[in-house]
Amino acid sequence: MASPRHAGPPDGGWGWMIVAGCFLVTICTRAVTRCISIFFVEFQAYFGQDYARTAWIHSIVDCATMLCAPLGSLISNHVSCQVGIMLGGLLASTGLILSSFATRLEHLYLSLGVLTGLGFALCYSPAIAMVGKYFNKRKALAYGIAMSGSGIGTFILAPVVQLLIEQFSWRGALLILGGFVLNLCVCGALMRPIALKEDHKTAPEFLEQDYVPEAQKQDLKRMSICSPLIKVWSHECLCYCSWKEYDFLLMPGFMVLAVSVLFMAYGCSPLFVYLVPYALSVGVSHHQAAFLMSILGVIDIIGNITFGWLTDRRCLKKHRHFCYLFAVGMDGLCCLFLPVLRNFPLLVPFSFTFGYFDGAYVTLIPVVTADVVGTSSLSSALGVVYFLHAIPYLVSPPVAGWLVDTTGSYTASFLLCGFSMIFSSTLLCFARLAKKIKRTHLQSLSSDTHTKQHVWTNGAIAYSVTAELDQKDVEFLAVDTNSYSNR
Amino acid sequence: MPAAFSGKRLRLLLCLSLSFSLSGGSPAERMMATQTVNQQTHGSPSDHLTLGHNISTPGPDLATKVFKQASGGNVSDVTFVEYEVLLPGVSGTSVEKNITLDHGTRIELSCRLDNKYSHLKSLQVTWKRGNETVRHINKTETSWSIQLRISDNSKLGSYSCTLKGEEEISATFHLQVPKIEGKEKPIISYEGDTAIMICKSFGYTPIAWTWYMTNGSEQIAINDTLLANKYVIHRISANVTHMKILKLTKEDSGVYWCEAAFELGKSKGKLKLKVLSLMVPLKPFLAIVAEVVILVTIIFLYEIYSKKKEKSAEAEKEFDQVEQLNSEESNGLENSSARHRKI
Repeated sequence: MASPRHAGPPDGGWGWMIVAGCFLVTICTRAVTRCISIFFVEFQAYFGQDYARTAWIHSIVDCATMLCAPLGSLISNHVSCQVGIMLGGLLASTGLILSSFATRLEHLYLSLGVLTGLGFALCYSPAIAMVGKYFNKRKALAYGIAMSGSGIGTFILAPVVQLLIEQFSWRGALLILGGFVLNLCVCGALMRPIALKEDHKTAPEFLEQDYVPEAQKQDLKRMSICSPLIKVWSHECLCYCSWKEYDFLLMPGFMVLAVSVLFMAYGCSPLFVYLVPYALSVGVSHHQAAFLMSILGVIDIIGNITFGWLTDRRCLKKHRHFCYLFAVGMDGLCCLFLPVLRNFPLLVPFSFTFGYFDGAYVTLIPVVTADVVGTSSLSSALGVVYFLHAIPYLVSPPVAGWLVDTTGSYTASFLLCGFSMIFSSTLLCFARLAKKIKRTHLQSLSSDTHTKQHVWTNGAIAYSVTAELDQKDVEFLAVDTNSYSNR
Repeated sequence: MPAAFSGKRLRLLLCLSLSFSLSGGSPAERMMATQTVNQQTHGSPSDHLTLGHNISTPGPDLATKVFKQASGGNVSDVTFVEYEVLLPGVSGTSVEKNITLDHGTRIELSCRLDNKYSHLKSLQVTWKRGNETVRHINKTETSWSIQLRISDNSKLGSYSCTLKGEEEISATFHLQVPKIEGKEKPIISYEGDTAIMICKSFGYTPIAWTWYMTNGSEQIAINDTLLANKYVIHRISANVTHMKILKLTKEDSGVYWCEAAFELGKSKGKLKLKVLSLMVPLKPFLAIVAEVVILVTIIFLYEIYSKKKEKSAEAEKEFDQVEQLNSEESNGLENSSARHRKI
């Protein structure tokens, strides 16, 4: 019944089916969320409400998807990834089908906003975490392909949704969209669980064979306590499980990442909302403004895949963290320049650059998170990271709008976004520098004592030395000992 | 003393600059505007004083539009509009201009020949509306104009000026009521549901809106007070009208017209309604659900099959290992017994 233990992530084989599944999940969640705004004109006409009240639906879906992301990773950790995603697909589909029978706008808030958003949340972060489990060497490329689903999905789905509305009116279109979202269940079925040797935090990867059984025993013990299907749900079991799952929260590396994600999400979200109004205000025509958004979308896709492929190259792999903060920093810089770009020929290169680096850092978020917390808690960590996106997404566009209204121009809000993103990337940069200094200090310490012991270590001694260091340093020393033992 | 004087000069400068900026537009445009605008500050306050942008480029199809303030007594509640067309020198081509009027106006239409064609001698100009010739042509050196008082629908139409010389040059002004746009694509709705039809007028405010439905070839006005549980007509704002059709049935499909009544006439917009049954979107939906169920079943079956294969492969491996161990043990036993025997 138990699947065989893999020596490491397969980096291929069934992994590509997982990537395809994640690609479809991204289409069904992110692209469908963006296409909901196409329905707004119909809702406005039918329910007789103004734009502001109908636009709440989109905010509620986005917010629910991000806020409930930890719930999604919780369910997929405890029960199974397959069950979690299939449940999410059923919920989202039910939400869309119910909203096709809505008689009031408030019904849409509940069914299309809360229910569908919750369904999407149950699918999104577990699917992304699953890709991380199946790939190691080509992780960034796999993520790039998987995340490009949102761009490609929006590109394809937008005209299709428009066509559906013309043929079947918004009720029929929502019904058929509900059917389409049911494909999330197919993606869920694809997410075959994989048990990796590194699925426990007690022993590092480089340890030799005879050490594994004890780690396996510990892992089994942990799994049997936490598996709800076998034992009784006792209070201490829950506490132990949730603590064990979320102890990465206290990791300093993760805390720095969390704060930087907050600022980055704050900086990037108003830009998509205010690019078109800003372009219109400086005299660009409607068609050209729409073209700017299309460029943004298409280059986003290209950025996803190419940056993913680039950061998988051996030369850049060690510097993935740096590539991530470089992408975020470049986005912030573009934002800072935006107020001086006042005509269409200048806004086009802005769209190119911003779109490319936006796609780039979106690809690298799961990769960087995996590098910080390791693959076993990736699901829960991603849940928390996407949860941290929710509040800035909710708060930032209205604040930017308020700034535009009070100052009368877009300069203040764009400057704020730019500085927010640059701060996010400098924070990560400093944290990395601090770590490097600490590591070189430790390296100088460990290189003094017992270099010869490393050659014939039987794991126990190496373990006692590395016990106090965190994950990254363990990996670093692993590389070191491997190079020693290979000689 | 010098401070006060400089202060006054500053204020004067400010006033001058303000007046320049109020006259609007870029410096080049401003110069043109002062040429053609009559700023008669004494006049009825109800009139609009708008400064038009006078862009006189030598293109054949650009007209200048200038608003003049009425300087008379008994037409003080009516605006006076002047339209001018620059004629091309090329014969055979015809210039057209559409003018939209929604209320009674005094209008002056003029055809002007560009200065570079003033060498054309012996020009005879006629103004016509259809077959009817318009008298009282005001003539200046290079322009010929007529003044019309448009008070009802009968005065609207196409007015053309024709210059007959060596060549024939003409221009036409089309005077129309504002057009109402309906929707080209049909509005889709479902049986039992409510359909909302919207008609908008852009820029001009109609006096009244009326809705018609088409029965065969006739157009029947919809009386919403009579059929209050079927039709609800709302005038949301001055320029927008809504009609709600409740409890739709298949017979409600067809063409509907929304008519806007202006002072000078009426204008119609066309809307199509299509009522579908609930089965129509249900078919694609069920097709997709069936596809999902089939795919999920296939994937799960494949997973069970590959797990069985792995299990059997593992079982074989274990069997081989056990056999190997057994053979090793037996070899070892033989060796030890051999050793004993040897000793």
